[in-house]
Amino acid sequence: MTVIINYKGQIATEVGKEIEELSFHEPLTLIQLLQALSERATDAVSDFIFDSDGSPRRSLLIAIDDEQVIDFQNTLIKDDCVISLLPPIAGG
Amino acid sequence: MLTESEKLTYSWQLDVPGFGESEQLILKNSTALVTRVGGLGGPLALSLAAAGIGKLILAHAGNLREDDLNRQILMSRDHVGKPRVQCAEQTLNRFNSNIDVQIFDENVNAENIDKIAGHADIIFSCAPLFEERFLLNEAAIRGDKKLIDCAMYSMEGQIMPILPRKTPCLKCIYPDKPTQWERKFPVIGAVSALVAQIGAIEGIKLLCDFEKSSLGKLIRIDTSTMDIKKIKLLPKRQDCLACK
Repeated sequence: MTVIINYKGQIATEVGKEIEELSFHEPLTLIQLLQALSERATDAVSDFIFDSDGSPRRSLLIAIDDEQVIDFQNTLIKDDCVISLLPPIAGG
Repeated sequence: MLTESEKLTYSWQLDVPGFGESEQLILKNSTALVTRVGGLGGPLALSLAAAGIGKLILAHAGNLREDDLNRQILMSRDHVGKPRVQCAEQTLNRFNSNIDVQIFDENVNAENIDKIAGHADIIFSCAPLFEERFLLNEAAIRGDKKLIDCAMYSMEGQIMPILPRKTPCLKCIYPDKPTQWERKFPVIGAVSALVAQIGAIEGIKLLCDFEKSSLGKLIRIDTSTMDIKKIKLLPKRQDCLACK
């Protein structure tokens, strides 16, 4: 299964790129995908995804195929989907 | 009623299908709060003035600095050291003398929010801090005011039109305080101005019930690729502390 990760805002700056294609051998949920991203990322990137107690940050907006998702535990990732990680921005 | 001078001034936009004298009158009779008037709020206020909004309320503390000039296009070099909001008022009054401009040389805070936002029909939130944005979000909900939240970062921007208690609010999408946002952010003025124009258009559509608004959507712009997307937001959170 292949998915596209779309990094936006400060996460893109920390990751150093905006798009990444990842492959997985088994089906996984959104929370499992976020954990996989966090494990391979720097602490700074991981901090945008999870708070200090290991919960996904509720201020990180996540969209799959341009639709907001908040049920991280039960959302199953589909092949070829695009997952956007949108940290809050407030520049004026 | 529109005066003959107003009919002439706005004649080119009165030709836009669906936008006629009744819509122009709605704009004339509307009051918009824009906070702040920097790289985003400045060009947004200018476009509202051009469109013929009746009254603009501007809130922004402090004096213009030289490093504001790459984006704060209501100001000019001879304004450096002078109150930003006064410079903005002068520019807007020169541009369109038919509109009223009220200024506050202060940033929105918990003490002044009702004084500043109380008479606005619509709020354009362009503040660089989430504390201000959440206060404006709460003020919009409390006063049942339309809200257009406009923000940018580097080459990206986003616009979120909000109808309080009907569509998701800012706190619905950011339930917790964003702790990692930094006051200083990378900015090319043209990106801020682009976000401002989309915010102004969404506000005009919402005020005049004209064309199709983007309520319930988050408009996302990435000027590095020139992609524009609309993220479909979930309905407002049942547990939202701001708009439940």
